[in-house]
Amino acid sequence: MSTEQYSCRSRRAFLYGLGSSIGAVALSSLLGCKSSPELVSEALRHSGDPLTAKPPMSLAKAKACIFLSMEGGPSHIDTFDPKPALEQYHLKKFERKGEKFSAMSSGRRYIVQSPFQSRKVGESGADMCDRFVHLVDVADDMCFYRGLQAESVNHPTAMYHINTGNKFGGEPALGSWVTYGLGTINENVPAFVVLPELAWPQGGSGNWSNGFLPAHYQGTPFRPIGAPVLNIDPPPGVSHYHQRESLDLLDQLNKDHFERNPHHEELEARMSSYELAFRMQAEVPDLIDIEGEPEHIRKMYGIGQEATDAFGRKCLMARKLIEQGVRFVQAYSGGWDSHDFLARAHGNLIQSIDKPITGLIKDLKQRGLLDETVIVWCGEFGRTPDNGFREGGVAYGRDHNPDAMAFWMAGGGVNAGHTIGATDELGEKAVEVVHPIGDLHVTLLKLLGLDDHNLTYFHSGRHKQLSQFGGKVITDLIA
Amino acid sequence: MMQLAKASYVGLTLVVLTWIGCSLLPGGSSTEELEALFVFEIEPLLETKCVACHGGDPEEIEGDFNLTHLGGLLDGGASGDPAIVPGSVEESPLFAAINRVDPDLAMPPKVSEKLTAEEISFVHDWIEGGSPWPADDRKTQILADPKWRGKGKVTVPVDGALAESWANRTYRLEDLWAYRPIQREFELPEGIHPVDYFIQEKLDEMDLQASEPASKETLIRRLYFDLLGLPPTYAQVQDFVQQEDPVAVSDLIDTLLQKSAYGEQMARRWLDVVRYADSDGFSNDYVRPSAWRYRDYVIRSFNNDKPFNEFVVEQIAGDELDPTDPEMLIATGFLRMGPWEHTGMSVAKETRQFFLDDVVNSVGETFLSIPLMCAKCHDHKFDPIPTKDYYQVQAVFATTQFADREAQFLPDENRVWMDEEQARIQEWIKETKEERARIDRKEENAAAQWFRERGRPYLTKKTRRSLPDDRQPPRYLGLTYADLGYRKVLNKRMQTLQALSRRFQPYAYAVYNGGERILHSGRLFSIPEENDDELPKSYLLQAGSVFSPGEEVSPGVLQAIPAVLKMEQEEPSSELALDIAPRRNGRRLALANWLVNRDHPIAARSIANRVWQYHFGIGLAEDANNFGVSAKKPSHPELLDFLANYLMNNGWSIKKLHRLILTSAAYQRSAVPVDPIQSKLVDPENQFLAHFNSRRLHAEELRDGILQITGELNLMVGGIPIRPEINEEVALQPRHIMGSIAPAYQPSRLPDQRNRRTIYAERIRSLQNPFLSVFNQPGTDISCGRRSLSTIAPQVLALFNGPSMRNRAVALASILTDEHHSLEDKIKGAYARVWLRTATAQEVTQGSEYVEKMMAYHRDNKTPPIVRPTKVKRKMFEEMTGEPFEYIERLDVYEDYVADPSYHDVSVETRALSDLCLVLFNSNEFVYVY
Repeated sequence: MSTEQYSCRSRRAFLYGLGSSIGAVALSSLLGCKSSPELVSEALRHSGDPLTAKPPMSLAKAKACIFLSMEGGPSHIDTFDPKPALEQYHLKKFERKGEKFSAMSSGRRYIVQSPFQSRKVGESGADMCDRFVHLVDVADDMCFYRGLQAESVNHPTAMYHINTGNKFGGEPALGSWVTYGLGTINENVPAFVVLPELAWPQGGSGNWSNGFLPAHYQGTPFRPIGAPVLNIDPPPGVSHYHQRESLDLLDQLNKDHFERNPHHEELEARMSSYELAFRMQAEVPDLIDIEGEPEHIRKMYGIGQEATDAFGRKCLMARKLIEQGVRFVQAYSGGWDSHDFLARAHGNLIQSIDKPITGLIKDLKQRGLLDETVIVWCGEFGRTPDNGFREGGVAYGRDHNPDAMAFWMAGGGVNAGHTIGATDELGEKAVEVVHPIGDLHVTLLKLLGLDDHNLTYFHSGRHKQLSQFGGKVITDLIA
Repeated sequence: MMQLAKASYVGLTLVVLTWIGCSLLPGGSSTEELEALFVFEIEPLLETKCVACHGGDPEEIEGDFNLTHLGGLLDGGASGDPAIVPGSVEESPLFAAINRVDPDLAMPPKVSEKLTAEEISFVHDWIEGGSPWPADDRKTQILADPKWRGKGKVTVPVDGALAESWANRTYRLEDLWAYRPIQREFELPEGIHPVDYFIQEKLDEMDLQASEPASKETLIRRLYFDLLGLPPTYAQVQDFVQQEDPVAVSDLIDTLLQKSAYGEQMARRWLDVVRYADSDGFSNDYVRPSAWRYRDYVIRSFNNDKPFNEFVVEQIAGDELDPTDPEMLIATGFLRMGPWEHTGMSVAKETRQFFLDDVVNSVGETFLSIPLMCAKCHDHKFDPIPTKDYYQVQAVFATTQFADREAQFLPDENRVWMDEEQARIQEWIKETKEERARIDRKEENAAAQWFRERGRPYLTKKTRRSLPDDRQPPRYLGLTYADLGYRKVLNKRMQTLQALSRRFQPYAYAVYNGGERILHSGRLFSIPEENDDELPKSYLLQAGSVFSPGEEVSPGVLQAIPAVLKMEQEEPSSELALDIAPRRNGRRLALANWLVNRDHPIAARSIANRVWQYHFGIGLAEDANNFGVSAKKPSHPELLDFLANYLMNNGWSIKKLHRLILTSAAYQRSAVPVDPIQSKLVDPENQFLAHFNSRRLHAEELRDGILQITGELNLMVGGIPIRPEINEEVALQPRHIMGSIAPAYQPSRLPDQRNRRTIYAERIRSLQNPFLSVFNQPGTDISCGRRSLSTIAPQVLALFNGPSMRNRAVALASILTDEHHSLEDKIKGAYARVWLRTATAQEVTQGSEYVEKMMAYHRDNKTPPIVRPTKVKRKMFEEMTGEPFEYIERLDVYEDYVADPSYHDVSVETRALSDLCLVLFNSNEFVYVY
């Protein structure tokens, strides 16, 4: 150890018999360690209290991200990427076979036209299916992208891919990387909050895991009903007074113990974690108090109407969390896996998110927060223009399609009012401005002032990064 | 883009000028030395850090700047200026770039790949020395010249590299430490414990002073938690403290190593590495009914002190060693420990390849401490492992297929509670079938009516399905969306129950050798009766894609192992260069025997390092799962080799290795540094062990330790998984599985079942125990070589607010109430049981005052009883239609649940006393081990 660190000069001199070059070492340490801001910020990210705000690596408008995850894989064809050509081939035979396909998506197949009409909306003339009746109002705030491709044809691996950059899970989630990079503004609330459906998505907590990053960066699921954070409330029979008295005794005992072990600094950190938890207990209930919001705001999000209440609450909660300094909120809408009954299933789902998302964008805008927030809407993959028979009959639905998917962004730094990239005539495959999921991650980091190449963490012998092996910024998505 | 702007270059000049003013320019190096510098340092540097973007394919060269020949450097790139000016770093923009003067122009762009101070100084000297770029034949000459051998860098002769430049890559011998032969001879002075000899040597070198021996109270608690994962009792501490016999410590070590809790503690550590779980993960997270037998095999192996070499061979190839021995089949569960799933939605080739990649990487991390996955898509970036080797090792597993093999229960296997659990599952199956039949009847009644209305004879679902659409009733006629959704829930539940019912059958979660076949998760995998299919061929997969097979490969091992040994040994063992016959059987056995060959440099080092880490919290090599070139080198390489030898020379006995380490003064030192400031300055991580590393209890140690103190822990060994109480909201939290919601988590019915050691708790991949995970129990998807120990606020919520913690406190308070009369004695008893020492007068007073206050509080405040639901209403969206529907799930366990006593069940005094117990369980004195 010591020899390796301190004697490289002499070792080299010994090895090659080279002359004095101590100056070079001094120079490099002078230049390498003191004058480079990138190194300073890297060092900041690594050292000290993980619960402090850290400067972004580059100038960026957005300070936070709301990631709207449409679990199951929404159909691009039936939302934002219409394919009128499908009408002429409707129910015509379609060939698809080969070892790259799952048992489910091979066999006898036929083309399925969209049950919805599409129309051009906003000044930008974006394509939107007619089931979106509210989102039309904010179409010009959105940047639609049709070039994204997933890799995986199956839900759990595709979910892990979009959420962690790795198809097989086990690695830090996007939100963990972002909070690792930007730190926390309000230490009394978690910096990365997940708003799952009542049922957790396939793969469970692996979708918001901190992976190999320190535990501070783990996503905290706020449950839609009951206590939002586990054990945030003291158990029945324990009052505030009771808790305070207990904490006071604990503090006394811990202080005495620390006096006997003054060299052990960790003890102090653990003592302060009790006070932090106590403050969280006081702050979190206010934070999620949807009922306390004015009626007209609740209405904007569709809260109180059956179809939109559930997702409306999530969207409003996302806004409240962002306001309180949460860096990354991921809100799930489940059930987009429409292999059958497409008109009904997608119709209902579109209705359930249409007003809430519109409300969210408008509300952020009126508070001046839209510029400081990036909103992302996407699923884990797109859907096929064709389908297979189910239980012997024709099923009006679509299979999983990793080659084309629906996606849009809005907010700070986003190239709003544009539609980027294109899929082929049938919507089977992205053909223009094509990028893999990893590039979406790199782009999102960029919008948040982070650089994927420099947002690294040393683990298992390698400086690991969100994009795994590096990616490209999709520059067309950035204003 | 490599554009080296003038601006940064000017800045650099200023700095350099300041420096030149006070120092000498390098000089006096011979041409030969500079050429050697180029061959051994500069060219490899360019290869690894630059040519990926600035070289190789001319179409893709960034910034039009080519670093594969001197001309490219002299011409510069798109900017038109030369990148280097031989003889002058000040005029060489490349030098400014690698010094990262301007972050926008810094090279390489990734900070994590920035050049080290040493590398920069090499470039400095090379440029200043006139930038010689020897021709190829001259390079060969230098590489072959014995003059440089062992001093500079070495090439490792391995075949099959994807790129020639990679094949010629050079390594520092010291970086290849793990591949080099294990030192066999040591000169050790008499009269000093060998471990202490090596430790003291470094302490002297670093000018660090070793701490005093720890107090006996501290030492016994340290040893108990370390070896058993449980605390001693107050009486055991007192007894030990009073013993004056100098062999008392070593007697204690021997006693602890004989306890069955020892095997459980070691198994807990091993299962972290192999990623043990009782379920598959991914979308269905199907149960692995027989995985528990592998868990118990690991516990047995450590308790019986199975020689480690045998332990390795059995896990990789037990079935090939002796397929008639159930123990050998159970051991191979190791190969299938990773997450894995194949369903109708997954691509068969991909899921098979996923297993192959997973098992190769797992064998690498577990036994070789080298994650082999890094060589899957390209030759290893840091280690001398070409992609070809990766696929050669993978070919060893090409005939390995999954099977649930019949393996009679062993006398040592615990089968308690099986009958009860089995009866429960059968009852559940019956109920589920009845409910499903009800929905099926509804559908068939509607179909029958449809046929009747058309005056046609009724046809069963099976027979009518092939008819054209208009000749059969519409799909799902008579059923509501809720029926459709619920039927799927029931179907899924049946699959789970059928898998669960196999838990009681004598199957081993194992493998066999054979041809490829497609298996669907959740089912029983039998060995085909005619197991004579053609054997799969193995290929080097281009870019790691199973759809791009390249050249065919045959089974083999890592070439680098014999190659490096050959460099340093006169007569290297020929057994380490191994070609494995591409037969059906014996491939894995050959690989396993290769791993534990006495001349193999890594296997013994790997486990010796793990054992060291278990005792000191940090390994001699810091990353227990990665000994590769890029990882941190060992702090005490000689000691590591000494331990590896000791292990092999003592019949690979892990227990003997423990004994050696634990009897050292280094292990028995106090955690208090002699000079805290010096220690922080010189050795902030305390790698040199001048004092002992105190640590927080691990998740399982917290839970098990508390249960032991409250008298609730059932120390029974082995058996089918148990389910502890977990936070009820998480337990009832719906978990999405393909098309359905997984059955609710219900704890085991009896306290004796559920209050067992945590290692017996069912590990469900999609449902981590929230108490354990918040205290850093690792997930089950990636191998964990060393746990992190973070301090975060949610831990407080779990330990202070969690309902089950309150029950633990009530249990302890109840014992104290039974044991003592006066309140003061009860309070003293609480301290003694949790802290294992006599409380001071002040502590007793603090405790008494608090308990008095709490008694007053409880007299005025009633606590409601804990009511457990016997049903839960599930709301979900029907998979296809997105229509919401509801159903009721029965929670059978809660119908006759035997609860642990809670707040509500005890007197005001016991409640107040339990409040004190809870505070003590939260105290730092309990939560840390010194």
